[in-house]
Parts: sequence; C-alpha cells; structure tokens
Amino acid sequence: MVQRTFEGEVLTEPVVVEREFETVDMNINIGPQHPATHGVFRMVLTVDGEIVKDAIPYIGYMHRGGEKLSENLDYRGALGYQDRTDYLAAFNSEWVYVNAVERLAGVEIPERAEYVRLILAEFNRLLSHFMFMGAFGTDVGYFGTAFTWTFKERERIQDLFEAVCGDRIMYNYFRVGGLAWDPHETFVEDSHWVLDQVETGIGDVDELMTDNEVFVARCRDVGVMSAEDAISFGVTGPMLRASGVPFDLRVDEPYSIYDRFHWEIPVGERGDVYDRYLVRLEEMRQSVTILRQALDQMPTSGPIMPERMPARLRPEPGEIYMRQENPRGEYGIYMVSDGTDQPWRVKMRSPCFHNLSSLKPQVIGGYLADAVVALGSIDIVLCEVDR
Amino acid sequence: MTTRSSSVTAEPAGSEPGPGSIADLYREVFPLISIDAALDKGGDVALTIPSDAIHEVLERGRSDERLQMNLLRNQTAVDWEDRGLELVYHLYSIPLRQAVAIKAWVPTEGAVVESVADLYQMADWAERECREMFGIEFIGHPDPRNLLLDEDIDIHPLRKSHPLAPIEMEQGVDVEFFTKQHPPPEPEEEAEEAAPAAAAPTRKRVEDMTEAEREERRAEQAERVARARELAKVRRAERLAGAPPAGGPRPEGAAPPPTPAPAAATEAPSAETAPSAPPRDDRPPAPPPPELPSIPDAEEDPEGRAAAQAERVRLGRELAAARRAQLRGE
Repeated sequence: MVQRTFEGEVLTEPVVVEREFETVDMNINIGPQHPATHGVFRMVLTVDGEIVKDAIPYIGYMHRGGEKLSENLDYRGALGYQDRTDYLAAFNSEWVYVNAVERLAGVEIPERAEYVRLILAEFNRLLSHFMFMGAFGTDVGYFGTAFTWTFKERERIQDLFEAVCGDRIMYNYFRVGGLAWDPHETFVEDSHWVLDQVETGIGDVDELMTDNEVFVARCRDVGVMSAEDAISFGVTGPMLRASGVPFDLRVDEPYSIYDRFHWEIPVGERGDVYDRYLVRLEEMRQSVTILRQALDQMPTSGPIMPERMPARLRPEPGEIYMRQENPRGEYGIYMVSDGTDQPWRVKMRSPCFHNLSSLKPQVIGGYLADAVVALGSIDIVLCEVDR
Repeated sequence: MTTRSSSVTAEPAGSEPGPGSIADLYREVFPLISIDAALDKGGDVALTIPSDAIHEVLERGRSDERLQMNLLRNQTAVDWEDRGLELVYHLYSIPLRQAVAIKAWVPTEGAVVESVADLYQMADWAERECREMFGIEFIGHPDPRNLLLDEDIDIHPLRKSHPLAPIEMEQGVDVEFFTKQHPPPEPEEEAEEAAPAAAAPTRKRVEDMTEAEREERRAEQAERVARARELAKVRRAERLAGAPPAGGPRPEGAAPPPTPAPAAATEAPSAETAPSAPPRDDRPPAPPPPELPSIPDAEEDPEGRAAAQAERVRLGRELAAARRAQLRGE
C-alpha cells in the first residue's frame, strides 16, 4: 500500500500488523427473575462480543398442571382456571372455555348474553394491548411514561369491569349458558364514556411512540420473521399478521356474532418488531369500531341465561376443538367428553407457548440489546405459556 | 401497512362428511392408507390413520395443492386407558381455509412415533410437551428433553394411571375424607389425635434419608398410588352410572364403594415415619365440619333445594365464624 500526496511525493509505507485475537464465546443468563422477561422465564444467550450466536429458552417455572386439574373437576368448576392462564385477557380465555362446553353439551345462548360477552372480550383486548404498549415501551426505553399513560386507560376499563362483575383481574363472570348476572343498568352509557376516553388514550400512545426517532431506531428491522417461518412455528395473532399473513379467526373461522360487524384487519409488511407494534395499535382502533357497533346493536333487555339448564352437565361422548382469537393469538380448548360430569381430557392451546418458541431464530445474529426488544414484542404471559 | 376487509366469511361448518368433504380429498390423495372419518361436535372432520403413516400424511398434506395444510395449530394426545393413547394433530390450511384433525392410536407403554418437527417447527415444543406428559417417544426429534416439567422427573402426569389423589395426599389433603361418607369425628377424639400430630417432628427431607428409609418411603408412595387408583376407578364407575357425588346420600341398593377403611389407613406402617397430613403450622386444629344437608335436584324438589341451600350457607357461616374465633385465640 503506497500513499501519495497531491504533488506525487511518495510517503513512507504505513506499517500494518495483523494480529489474531482469541475471542471466547460467553454465556449470558437472563432470568428467571428479571424485569425484561415479563415473568418467570429464563434464556441462556451465547454471545460473541455483542452478537447473539445461540439462545436456549427455559420455560415451565409456572407450570401448575391446569389441564390435569380441569380433568378432575366438573365442567363448571374448572372455569376459574381459565382466568389464571392468561390473566391479562381473562374474559377471552373464559369465553373459549364456556363456548367449548356449550357446543359439547348443545346449549343455546341468549342473544343478549352473546353481546355482553363480545363487548367484554373486546374491552379485554384493549386492556391487554394497553398493557403491551406500556411494558414494551419500558423495554425500549420509555421508563415510566409509557406505563403511566397506558395504565391510566387501563384503570378506566378495569373500573368498568369491576362495576360489571365485581373483580378487576380474575373475573369468573361467564357461565355455561350465559352470564352470572346482568350487567349494571348504566353499562352501555359507561362503556361509551370509557370508549371516548380510550380513543383519546390510543391517540396519546400513537403520538408518544410511533414517530419517535429512538423508538423507530430500536424497532425497525429487529426480530424479523418471514411469513413462512411464522406459519411453521404456529405463530398466530398480531405477530403472524405483522409478518404479512391476514389470518384472523374472527373472520376466517367466524364464531359468535362477529359476522354482524364490519371492521378491517391490519396486516404488516416486514414482519419486524415495529410492524408488530403498528398492528397492535391499529387493532385497538378496530376494537373500538367493533365495540361501538356492538353497543348500538345490543338488545336493551332480555334473558342472560337459558330458561332451563341441567343441574349437572353430562354431555354426550364426543370431542371439540374450540378456537378463538385472543389478544395474543389463537387460544384453543380441545375437550373430550366421556359421558360423565367431568371432562375426560382438556387441552389448552396457548398462543404464547407457540409464539415464544419462535424467539430463537429472531434473536440469533442480532445484538444482545435487541434480544430484549424481540422478546418484549412477543407480548408473553408466562402463566399462559406454562399453564 | 395494508388492511383486509372483514366482509369475507368462511363456509359454515357442521355438514356431514359426505361427498366433497375434506375426508374424500384425503382419501383421494392417499388411496393406499386406510382412513376413518368422523365429525366432531364443532363440525370439524377427524381422520384416524395408522400411526406409522403420520409423517407421510402430514408431509404430503402440507405440499399437496388440494390440501395445503400449512399450519399445525395444535398437537396433543388423549389417554384412553385400556385402548391406548390417541395422538391428535389439528391442521389448518390458511390459503384454502379448511381444518382437519388427524388422529392415530398408539400403545400406552413404549409408544414410538416418527417426529414431524422437520415439517412444522411448531412440533418441536409440542412434541416435547407430549413426550413428557404421556411418555410417547418421537423418533427424529432434534431436542428430546423435558420442557415444562423438571429435568429429573420421569413420570407422565397426564396419563390416567397417574391420578391426582396421591399428589393431594402428599400436599396434606385428606382425600378419603372428601371421597367417603362418614360421620364427623367427636371433638374430644379430634383434640387427642391432633396433639401428638402437632408434637411430631417435621418430615425428613428425602436427601437426608438413609437407603432403608427411602425404600420405605417408596413403598408407602406405591401403596398410596394403588389406593388412589382404586378410588379413582370407583368414582369413575359412580359417575358413569349417574350416581350422586360421594358424600351425598347414596341411592338404595347401590353398593358402597370398596374403599379401605379409615382405620386401616391410620394403621399403615408409614403413618409414623411420614404422616400423610403433616401439620402445616402450629395453629390449633380446625373445628369438625358439620353434617351438611344434601341438596335435592332442582327439577324434583325446588323448594326443598332452596331450603337446603340456605341451610348450607348458614352452617358454612357458623363454621367460618368459629374458625375465625379459634384463629384469634378465643
């Protein structure tokens, strides 16, 4: 290598010494008790400098055997376990369970109960996505701000839930056949008021995060997953839609009364963390649209339980795989009846479980700090992963 | 970001698996494999195939243009005791919007199935869970370790031969009390029995035990498991016959379940070394539960049902008040 000045004068050749540095891979253990893991989750990352070369996730710290316990209770008694799988979307999980039992036993549900269930489940989707915005914002760097802003909105929705069923997290309000009791008298007006507030709150989150330069820099092209990979891993929900697959069970396998409303499914293009955030943000707006239509259509009075319900449910032998769109993806209950008053087999298909299994290819090759962002974008609830 | 309208609806489920259904499609694609089709309660078609054909059916079902089953949404098994285990794969085709369940029978002990983790990466974790919960070995699985359970555990908890009762006994629940009809014990006897139990030393940790003690503990656990299995069988037979739950009045003519007498349980050799219900703290023993009136069926006797429920609530409140008073030391 020869360097010359403009005048053509030859300078002395710089001395280049090449040295082989011996680099050693290092294992970094994150969790099980770590704020960035959103629960009791542990992963061991092998890093070369700051680049992640391998990731081994460990789950099961919260395994309580909910399936086995449900098989040893009668059909109505096991409902409480559903609140304790996905505690951020308890209404949605309860709904899948009671729907599975109802279809298995052939129970017809009154229309008003169906509307109330749908409204509460969509409110719960908002609640869960607000939680994601707050927790994910904290992962990315909005210490405090994102959490306080989103929890302000969460409080309003939780107050509504408390007025309806008396509880803020573990509702246990749905029943096989309908609801435990009628919602309070001003349910519709209260819901409209909460929706007005929440719409403003969604706009606040949008303004706070979407166009922020640091936020975009942390999220763009991080944790990219192709559509083929996502489908192969069984990823569902907003993560799958962020990868460009417009798959939503509310439309593709319509259940309940979702075919009465008109709304749109947001779909991402790149399949990175930023798209997952955008899809969830748009989903919240679409949930508000659904809720407004449902509140307008809901019958003002009517029964919330069938007139006659058997004292003890004994469905005919048979099986069902009931699946619905939860905030995190496809939540399924595979239930087998043997003709007795206890289910012979209950399998909970947890969306987080399969979404989390796709973490490894997302973080390999990226920076260590991006691994935390990719994990946060999955929106895991470890109680649901471990069941 | 693009959006898609929600106005498109899928075809209604619930038709018979007649001509044109997905069962016929599968029979067309796999003419050499015997396929039994059945409808489940949700209107989905379930196909039962031989267990050695699972990999082939899933592989070609994924690539064939008529099926395109690209999403393996759920994988699990069902323990049918004498008939063996039933493996279940729930598949879905996102482009064609069709769902199907593929089932296969395998024996309970020593079941070996070809892994499908090379086709669907989702099966990696699902098969690990299925393996630890049911004891099915998946040949060709990249990482056959325990997933949800501890690494050292080699029992298979979701099998029906692993009843819940011994676990509850281990945790201090008196299972026989809840499964058997018996009069409430006298208060004086209760106090006498409770005093030595409270004074007994806490149970030895397994690591500190000698080999003989461990042997004894194993024998004791085996005995408990056998007893719990017996109980589970009796209760299941009762439920199948439509009998009222244990604890309620037994219909005349029905034989009482052959459960071991409570006296035999207390005389078991294990009672001294490891009491089945160790005292959890030094609180005084709870007052004996009152005899609860049985609740008649709503269709037969609605007034009597309401009265019995009110009586139960009153007794429960009294009991709770007594327990609170006792805890406060009054």
